[in-house]
Amino acid sequence: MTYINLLKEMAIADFKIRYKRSMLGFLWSFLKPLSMMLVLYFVFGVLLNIGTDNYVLYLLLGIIIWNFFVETTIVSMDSIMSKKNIIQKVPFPKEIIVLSAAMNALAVLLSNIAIFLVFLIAFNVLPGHKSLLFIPTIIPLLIFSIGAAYFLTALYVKFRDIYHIWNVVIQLGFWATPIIYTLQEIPGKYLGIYLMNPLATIINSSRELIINNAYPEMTYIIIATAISIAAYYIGKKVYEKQSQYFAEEL
Amino acid sequence: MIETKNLAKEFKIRHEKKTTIFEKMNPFTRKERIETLKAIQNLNIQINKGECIGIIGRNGSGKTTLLKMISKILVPTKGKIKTRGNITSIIELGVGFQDDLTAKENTYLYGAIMGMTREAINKKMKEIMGFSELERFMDTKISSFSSGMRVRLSYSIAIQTDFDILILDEIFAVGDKNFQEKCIRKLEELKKQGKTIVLTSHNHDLIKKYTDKTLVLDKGKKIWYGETLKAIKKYEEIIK
Repeated sequence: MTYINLLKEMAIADFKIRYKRSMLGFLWSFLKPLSMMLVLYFVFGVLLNIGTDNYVLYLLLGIIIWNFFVETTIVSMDSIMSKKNIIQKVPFPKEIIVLSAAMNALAVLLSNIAIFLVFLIAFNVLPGHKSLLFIPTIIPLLIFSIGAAYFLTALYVKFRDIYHIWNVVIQLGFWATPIIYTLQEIPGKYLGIYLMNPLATIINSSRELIINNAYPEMTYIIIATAISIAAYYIGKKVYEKQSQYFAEEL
Repeated sequence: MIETKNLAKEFKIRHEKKTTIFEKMNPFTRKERIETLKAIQNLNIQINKGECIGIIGRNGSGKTTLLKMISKILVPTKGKIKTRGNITSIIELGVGFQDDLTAKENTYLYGAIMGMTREAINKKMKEIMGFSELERFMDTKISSFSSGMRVRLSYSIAIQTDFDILILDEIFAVGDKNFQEKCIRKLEELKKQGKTIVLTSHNHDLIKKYTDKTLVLDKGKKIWYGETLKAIKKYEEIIK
């Protein structure tokens, strides 16, 4: 009970600090994926002319989901440093730091999805009833991102270059994940590798559900969920072990 | 109730500490010289419910380390600590505050870290504002607060929590005379309510007046644990 309460208060505080209590500040969080989408659309959709139908929508949805993952991990790492003082002086469950970062990223994700729905309608794609299944699709996304954030944050306290290494991995990951292209375009021999990345499946399934009003491949989802749970379990274990020493190592 | 058994805490002080993977793997960086600092050594004490215990010792004698272990901020290297009851610890005042938030918003956050819900804080808001004498500034950003104001606010919040054991580290060294007296009156009140209190202080008059027993630490070792007057004598022998 106090755990949930602390998560709520910390998430609210983090949110206010981040967006300096301005609505415009929060809107900026949509301008980031939007500007990214416009640049990528110009390069791939217009100059190279390789986009599929509704390429703008594919891109935007992919970027929004990818950004959730990036935000959760990066903000968790930033947060552990900015909360150094509290960690060293007040006892509280350290998981809250990562969970609060995830809650903030979730608020951004959901609001971005809401704006995305406006885009859908503007592009004359009316979301069907299957798009409601997007909501359970978020669950493996959450689990995977939080697991990765636990793992990275625990290591970051010990090794400070993890932050830079992770930024490089994120850049590579952006191209290695079907964001500017689709999972359907991947040749069969590489598909197995792609399916190891839960984000590939989550982005693919979300596109199928919301944009195409179609059911995604169920086996893919099962694989992605299993990997997400494994990632969460490992991340949580490492974090639990390491967080005992945060007060000394920070 | 607090009980320690063969409690020990060691800190590894790494000179030329390697904080990156690159440094760890690079054979050309200098080797770390590791020095072990024994902050607490083989400590056995028992603090009973309702007792008010003082801890004295020179700087670096392990007072704060012990309090941090009791509060579960630090984990012991060896030995065990058994505690019964909710613990509220005030290791350093005003640390949980975020500069960009107002005093009121910080009250909710700090209170939550201390284990209080928003409703509980709202109920006690009047008392918190009254005790800290900051009523007029509750909607002001903490960044414009003086250190004295921060201390007053954080202490006022912390003592509103529902605790059985209160841990205070050097808190009487801060705040003006008026506020210090207020804190002491509150301390007496808490003592009467049967709360267990553990405090460190360099103010020996205060220790003499309020504690039932005192622990003297030197270089992490227990020199004396018992009657306060004797404890102060022992301490004076050490510093000679």
